[in-house]
Amino acid sequence: MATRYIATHTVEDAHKSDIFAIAVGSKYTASTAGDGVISLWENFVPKDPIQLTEPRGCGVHHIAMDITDTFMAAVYFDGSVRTWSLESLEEIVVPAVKDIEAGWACSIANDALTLAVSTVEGSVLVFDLQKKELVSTLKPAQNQQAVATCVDISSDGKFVACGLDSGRVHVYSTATGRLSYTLPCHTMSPRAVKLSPMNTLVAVAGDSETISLFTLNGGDLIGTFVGHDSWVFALDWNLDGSLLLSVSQDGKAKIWSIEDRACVSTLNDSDQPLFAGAYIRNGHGAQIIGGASQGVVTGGIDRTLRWYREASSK
Amino acid sequence: MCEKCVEIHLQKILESSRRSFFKAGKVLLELPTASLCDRLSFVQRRRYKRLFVYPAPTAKSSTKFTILVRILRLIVDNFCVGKKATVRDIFYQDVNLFRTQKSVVAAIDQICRTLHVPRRLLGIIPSPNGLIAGDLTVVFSSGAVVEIDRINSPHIIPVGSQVFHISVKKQPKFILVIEKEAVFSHLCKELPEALLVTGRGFPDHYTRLFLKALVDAMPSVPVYGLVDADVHGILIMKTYSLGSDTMVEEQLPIPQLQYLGVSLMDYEQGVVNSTWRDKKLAMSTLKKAWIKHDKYTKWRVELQRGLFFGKKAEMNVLDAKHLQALARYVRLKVKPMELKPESKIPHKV
Repeated sequence: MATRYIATHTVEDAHKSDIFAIAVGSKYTASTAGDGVISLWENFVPKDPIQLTEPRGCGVHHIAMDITDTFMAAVYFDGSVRTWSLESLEEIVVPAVKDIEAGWACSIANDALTLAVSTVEGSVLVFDLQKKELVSTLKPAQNQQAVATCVDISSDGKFVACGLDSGRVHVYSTATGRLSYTLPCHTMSPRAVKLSPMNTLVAVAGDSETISLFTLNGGDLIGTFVGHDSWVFALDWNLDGSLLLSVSQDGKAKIWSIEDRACVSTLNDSDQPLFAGAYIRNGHGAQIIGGASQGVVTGGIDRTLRWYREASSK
Repeated sequence: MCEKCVEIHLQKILESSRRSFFKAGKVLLELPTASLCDRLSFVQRRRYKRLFVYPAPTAKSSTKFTILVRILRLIVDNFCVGKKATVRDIFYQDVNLFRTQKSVVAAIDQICRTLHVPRRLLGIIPSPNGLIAGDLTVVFSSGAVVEIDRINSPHIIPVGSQVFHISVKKQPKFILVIEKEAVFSHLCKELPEALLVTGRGFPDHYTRLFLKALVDAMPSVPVYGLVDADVHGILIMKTYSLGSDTMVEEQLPIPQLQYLGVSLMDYEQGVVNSTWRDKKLAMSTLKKAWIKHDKYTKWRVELQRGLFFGKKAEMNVLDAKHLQALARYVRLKVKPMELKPESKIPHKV
């Protein structure tokens, strides 16, 4: 069944360069770009964003925050990683995080404790943000030289899924620090991996232009979404895990119904590649997306941030 | 000082190092730091020498020693047969030992420094690597005149003394600096309105010297760079624009140089995964201060996208049909740049 999404808010030239990543929490939506600025847009009030700049002027390509707006992490183009407290908006210095030389992607669990950073060498480093220490280093058994292009930590912090540019996706258990299994899904580089909010499914997408769904318990393929015409750069689940957002190089953002295994909405306002997209929970972008519905936000090469709301037909 | 003096001296150095092996069980290599023509007594000369010993304390310096001796030997051999060699020729005589051309350059420079002689006197000639296509006349300060015409193009970039004057029959619309020779030779025919230069990869000193003279002679003509869509392409552009960090020679910057492409975004196919090394190099390049300058925004964006995509593309993967399109592509890209030179990155590519 098709669902309508209505464009509610658009900020043109939100950044001076390509928008590479977006993360959404309760209070803020964070966007970041090749200009090195992280903009925090308040979900409830449409006003100018709070801007966090980087003194060295390096661009940012990955960003993560937890759903309660406690911590935020960003990975810079030089491979360094920085973390902030979203309460004080101050940088929190975690020495073990500062030591990272070649970080690539990051994810923060919703327990507001655990940060996972994947590296260009293919490993995943897991940190405890409150104790400010490295908890474990997750590595595949054979040392393959592949870039860990994407990483996601489950909302409870128990599982880490990590995609390598060789095409594999590894799922680790953080409790044992061991590889649980490998999803032999794609032969081309995955660019996004997301665990569903209830920790039941894993969605993987990338250069193969398709999105694959696996069960987290066992890693069985249960569905494939075909519809994008180019690389898929980002994925995000809605709050209850019934819908999945995907954004692609072809400039389209698509919303997929998990139950129907079908695309329910296509947003094609951008004629340029989209790099980033995220779901906003029901009622959380009240002023920005209007009303109590859920919505999405996308960004890419045209440097425009676009907010959409689900049409409340139900 | 003459070449004969140098030859005799180098032979002496090698001979004495051979003798030292029998005497001391070690190989000693003495490179005097004083000029050859100085009439220093033997004792005085000893004071100024630089001593290399084999075996050296570390494997690395032992290798260095071996390279030094090998190059001295090769230079002397070349003297014997009266052959001139380029750095590259020397490199290919013992690739296994030298491993990189850089190590050859380092060793030759060391010899030049200690003996106070220019490379020329060691029988090492610059390898004119660059090519040029266009109609122009070059007058060197030595009086030599080199005619370059498009019909017989490409020409090897003329090497001589200081360029004194460059004249063109017809002012070119733009100067195009190209990374790859294959692309260059194709575009020679396709772009008659432009003056084309290639350094065949990273440009050597002479290519940059000549391009600099060319740009200075025609200050109103825009200069564009056409390189592969990868980190090396950007670094080649940087070498032309800012000069290289490692060169001991003059920097010869050409700040007018504008980045034309090829942009990764313009490829429909032929894009390949960049290697782990490419990524590391791109990351360390993005750390550099020069690339953060506003002037290089377009270059930085290109590098960031390449890194984010994890992809690169080379111009020579294009087939004949696409090469036809390349000339069109260049004209298409040049047009908006003439209106707004190095403006903000166009939204549409």
